[in-house]
Amino acid sequence: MKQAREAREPRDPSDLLDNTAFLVMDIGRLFRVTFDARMASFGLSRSEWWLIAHLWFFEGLTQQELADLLDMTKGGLAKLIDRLETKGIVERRGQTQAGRATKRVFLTSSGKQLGFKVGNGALQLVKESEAPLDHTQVAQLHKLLRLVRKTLLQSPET
Amino acid sequence: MKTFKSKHGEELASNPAFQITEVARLYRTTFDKKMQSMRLNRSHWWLISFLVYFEGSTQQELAEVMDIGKAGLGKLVDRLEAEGLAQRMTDPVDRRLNRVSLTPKAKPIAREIRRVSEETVAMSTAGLTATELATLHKLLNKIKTRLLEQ
Repeated sequence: MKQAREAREPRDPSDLLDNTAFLVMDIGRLFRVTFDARMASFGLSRSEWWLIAHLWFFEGLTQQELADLLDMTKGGLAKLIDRLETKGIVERRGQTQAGRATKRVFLTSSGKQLGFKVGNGALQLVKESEAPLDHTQVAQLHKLLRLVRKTLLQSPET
Repeated sequence: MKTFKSKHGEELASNPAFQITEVARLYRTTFDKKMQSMRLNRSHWWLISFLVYFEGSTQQELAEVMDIGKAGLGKLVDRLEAEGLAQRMTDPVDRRLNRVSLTPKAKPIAREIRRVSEETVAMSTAGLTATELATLHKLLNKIKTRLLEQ
C-alpha cells in the first residue's frame, strides 16, 4: 500500500464553507447527530425518531408521501413501520380516496405521547440552535431559505 | 410540500430548521437526478464528492462527516476501490490508520461532480442578491457553530 501524504484538513475548506448546499446539508447532519443523543434516552434509534417526528408534525401521510419526506425507499419504510406497529407506536389505517384504497400512517395514542416528547425535543433543539440569532435574523433566514427552496422545487431536476 | 394536516405541521412550517432539512433534501434529490446521467448511484457520487474535499481523511472521519456508519462506509470504499476509483493508504505516522483518496481514474468524475455541484448551488441561489447570499451564509454559520458547541 502506498503511503498517504494528503493533509487531514479539507483540501479547499474555504471553498466548501462558501458552498450553500454543503452548509445546509452539514447543519442537517448536526441536527440529527445532536438529536440522536437526546432521543437515545427514550430508547429510540435514528430511523425511529425520524419517523415519529414526521408523524407528529404531519399525521396521516401515505407511505409514498412518507418515503419522499424521510428520503427512504418504500421497502425500508415499510419495514420501519412494521417494527413500530409491533411496538404499538404507529398504525396503518385504510381510507378510500378517489375510488382507491390508500393506507395512511398514524401515531397510536401511546405513540402520540412519544410523539409529543420527540416533537417538543426537536423544537427545543431548534430554539437552542437559533439562540445566537435575534428575531429579525430568524425571519430573514426563514425568508432566504424559502426562496432557495422555491427555486429548487421549480427546477426540472428536483 | 404536502398540505399540513395538523396544528403541529403549521408550527413546523414556520420553522427555519425545518426549512434547512427540506432544502438539504431537495439538494440531494437534485444532485441525484443530475448524477444519474453519469451512471453513478447515490452512494458512489456521495462518497466521491466528499473525497473531492476531504481527500486523505481516515474512514472514521469520512463516516462522521457523511453521517453514515463505519461499516457502511467501509463497504462503500470497498466498492469504489474495486472499481479503481478510490484507494486506501496507510498513514505514515500512525500505521493503524487508513486514509482514503481518489485514484487518477476518479479525477475526471470528481471534476464533473464539482462542476454539477457548483452549477446546482448557483441555480438554487439565483433568486438571491450577493448581499442576501452572504447574509444566508452568515446566519447558517451561526447556527452551525452553536450546534457544534452542543
